[in-house]
Amino acid sequence: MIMNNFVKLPFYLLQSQDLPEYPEPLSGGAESIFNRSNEASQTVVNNFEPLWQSTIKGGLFEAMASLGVLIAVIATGFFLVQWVQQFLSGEGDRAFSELIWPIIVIVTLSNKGALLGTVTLELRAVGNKVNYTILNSAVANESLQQHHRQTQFGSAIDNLEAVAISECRETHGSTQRGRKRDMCIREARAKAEAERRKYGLPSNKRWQLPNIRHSIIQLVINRFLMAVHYAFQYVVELTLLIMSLFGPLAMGLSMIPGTSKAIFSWISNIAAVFLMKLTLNLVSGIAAYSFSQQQGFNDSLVLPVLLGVFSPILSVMVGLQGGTALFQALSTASVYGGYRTAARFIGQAGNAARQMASRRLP
Amino acid sequence: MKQLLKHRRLLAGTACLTGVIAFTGQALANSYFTGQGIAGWDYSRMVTTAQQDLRRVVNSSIDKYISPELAPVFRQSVNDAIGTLGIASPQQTAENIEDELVNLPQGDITQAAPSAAQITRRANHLLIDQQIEAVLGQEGQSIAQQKLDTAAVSVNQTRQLASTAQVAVSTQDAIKAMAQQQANTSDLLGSMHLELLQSRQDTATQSLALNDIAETLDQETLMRQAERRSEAIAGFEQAAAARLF
Repeated sequence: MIMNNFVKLPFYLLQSQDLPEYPEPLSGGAESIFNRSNEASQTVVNNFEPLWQSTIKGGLFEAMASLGVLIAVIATGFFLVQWVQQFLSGEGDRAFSELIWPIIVIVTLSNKGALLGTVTLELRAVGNKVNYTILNSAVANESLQQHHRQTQFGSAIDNLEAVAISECRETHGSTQRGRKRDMCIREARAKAEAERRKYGLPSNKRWQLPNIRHSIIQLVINRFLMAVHYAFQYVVELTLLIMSLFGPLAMGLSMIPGTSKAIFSWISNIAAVFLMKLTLNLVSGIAAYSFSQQQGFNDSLVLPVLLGVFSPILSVMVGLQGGTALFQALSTASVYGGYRTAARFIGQAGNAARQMASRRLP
Repeated sequence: MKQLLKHRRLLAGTACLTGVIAFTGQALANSYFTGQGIAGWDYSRMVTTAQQDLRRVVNSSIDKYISPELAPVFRQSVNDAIGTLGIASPQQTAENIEDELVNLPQGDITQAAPSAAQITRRANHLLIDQQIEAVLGQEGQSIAQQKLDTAAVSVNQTRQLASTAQVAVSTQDAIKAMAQQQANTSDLLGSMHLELLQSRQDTATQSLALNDIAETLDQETLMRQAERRSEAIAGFEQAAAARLF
């Protein structure tokens, strides 16, 4: 109660008929902020798993699977025309190899796309496993995840310390109050150091510089760029989810004859988004680690610009390039594999026919 | 003796006039230096009453603007600093507030430290407001009007006595001139009294303007600090939620 009033005091003093009132204090304390935000973030991340499960095994995916079946049925017409044409023109080998696609489409889209949904979830699990391994890989005895969190948190405490010191300078600005100003600054530093100790962060020597100040514009830009960084992570996760919903459509479109199949494009895109995610995490973790090694550089806007602007751009570029390369590899491999499969199938069919013919002969 | 009898009326008139002048001068002097007016006005009592009013209004303002839990601390700090004239010493108020704040538990880095300087400035604004109110407010104006009325009565009485001296049968022009001069002096004193009151009102008006400016600047500073702090706290929240996934 006393603590609460203590926090409210400066804001009650603000109250007058001409000013907006501040009935509640701005902060309930660092620990409560940390716990609340940490739990909220963890909840959001944890909720992605049930969200994926409910989406892929729910009505939305089933509806998309139905649409995929419809597209597959329509595409079957094109497939049959192409298939008959190949068969009649003497390209029996190729025609036989193409027969694999109706089988795959029927198997994956049957039962409202249950198998495709399972495959999608497995793909995600594999991608997340790789991502988790990278995030927990140690750099200088600490994981990338830990470096990233520590750098962010340390920077936020630095900002709070800067704000507190600025307030001390503004409140006790005159030379007559120099002693009180110095005392106020010492207290602010001590409080910041206590927070750093509490969260295992290294001590900050930067504030021994006498005239460092933080403007509100710098804080706003910093926060905006970091918000872009975090938002991009969510966008990548949501992109994965949305793309997974298009799996049945890609599968249905794969019935259309041709060397490049839509399902390969879909798999390539999923892989590209995972590659984006991995690149983003790698860049963020390594950048955070390198910045954590540079005491006195945390207050600059370099890290927020790197994480909020260049890191997403870089990850998108790497993801797209990787996706394209994977698509080309898959296409080539599928054609080659198709021919091999068809040849093997035809060879086995011919052998079987010859054996049957030889048995019938007297 | 005959000469004396011849001028007995003059002597009587002189004695009477001297008495009136002495009484008027003493009364005016008392009214300025002791606060005791001619017509029985007890200026000391009036000042004391005004001081009590000032204290009452200060306490009322504290109750109005400060949270109920902290009002006693604030009131104690201000009231302990009130001197014998009923005015709170700014320095003493600041020291009292600092002492009280030191006794309270300190917050962490996310919480704005309650600044004794800020609170003292707010207390000073409140005190100045109430002092201005004591001069320019309705009660202050009423007291000033009463003082003016009293001075006017005194001046009129002196003028009447001077007129009486002028029409009195007397051959001593010097005495008549003295009476006239005394009347002029009385007028001058009355004008000075009026000027003094107007000066106090002008000073109070200027104080009001300066107080408004200072209060506006303080409010802007506090608003800027609150905005900056809220931004830093939001960044802290964001950092606490930061995770790669």
